[in-house]
Amino acid sequence: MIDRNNNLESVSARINENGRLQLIPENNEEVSVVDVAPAVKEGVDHMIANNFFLE
Amino acid sequence: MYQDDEQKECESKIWWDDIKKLANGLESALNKKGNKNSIFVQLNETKMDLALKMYERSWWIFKTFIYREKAEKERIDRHKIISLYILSILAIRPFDVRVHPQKKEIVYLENTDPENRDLFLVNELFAFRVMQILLFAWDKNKGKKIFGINGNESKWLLILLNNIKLNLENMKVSFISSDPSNVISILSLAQIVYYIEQVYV
Repeated sequence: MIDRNNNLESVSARINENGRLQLIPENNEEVSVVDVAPAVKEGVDHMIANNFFLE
Repeated sequence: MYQDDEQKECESKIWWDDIKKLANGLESALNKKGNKNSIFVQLNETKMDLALKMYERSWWIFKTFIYREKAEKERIDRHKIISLYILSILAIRPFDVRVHPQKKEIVYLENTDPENRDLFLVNELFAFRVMQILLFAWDKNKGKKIFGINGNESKWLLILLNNIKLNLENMKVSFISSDPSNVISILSLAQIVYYIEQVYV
């Protein structure tokens, strides 16, 4: 299989009992939801401060 | 099909207070902007909590669908996380649009006014803003502003979100399951989020 970055073999797959292709990514997200929590807060504050970019 | 009914807690719960803050801020901003004499939006906090719980339930179901017995250990990527948040918001619709009964005729006329359009599309707009913030949060080039999406693409994205919302409303789902139609929605939206990230972030 080829992943989004054209890396061979970083993604494996199986066909399940219903004939559905299921991808089994081996390269999990490097940056976790916990890591980005401060940036989420920053983004919310920024959007509110800028009035949600309403036009 | 592998099943694990033991719901796990999602780590993105750490953002939930921020997402609620965003919802409160959007309610205030829209009500200042629109014609509050005839139409206004109202955040239903119970439904907001329900949407977040729906995310958590859907996240776990989707993870077990993808990873089966490895679900607890493995993680899904940001595009699918964002897709699940968008779908949960559109399924539950935490904002209500309120119309003063004596002003209904005026509202129908104002419905085509761009000033009021955002009020009628408040749930779609909220889902859109959540997507922007989460993509911003994962952006490795910190210090940049939150990206915008150009007018025409933004319009079509809102139309898409509006149709997804109406479709979910008809289905009356209580969570985004591993049914094929739901999986198509999750994966399609995740791909769109991925392409938006490629173009704008």
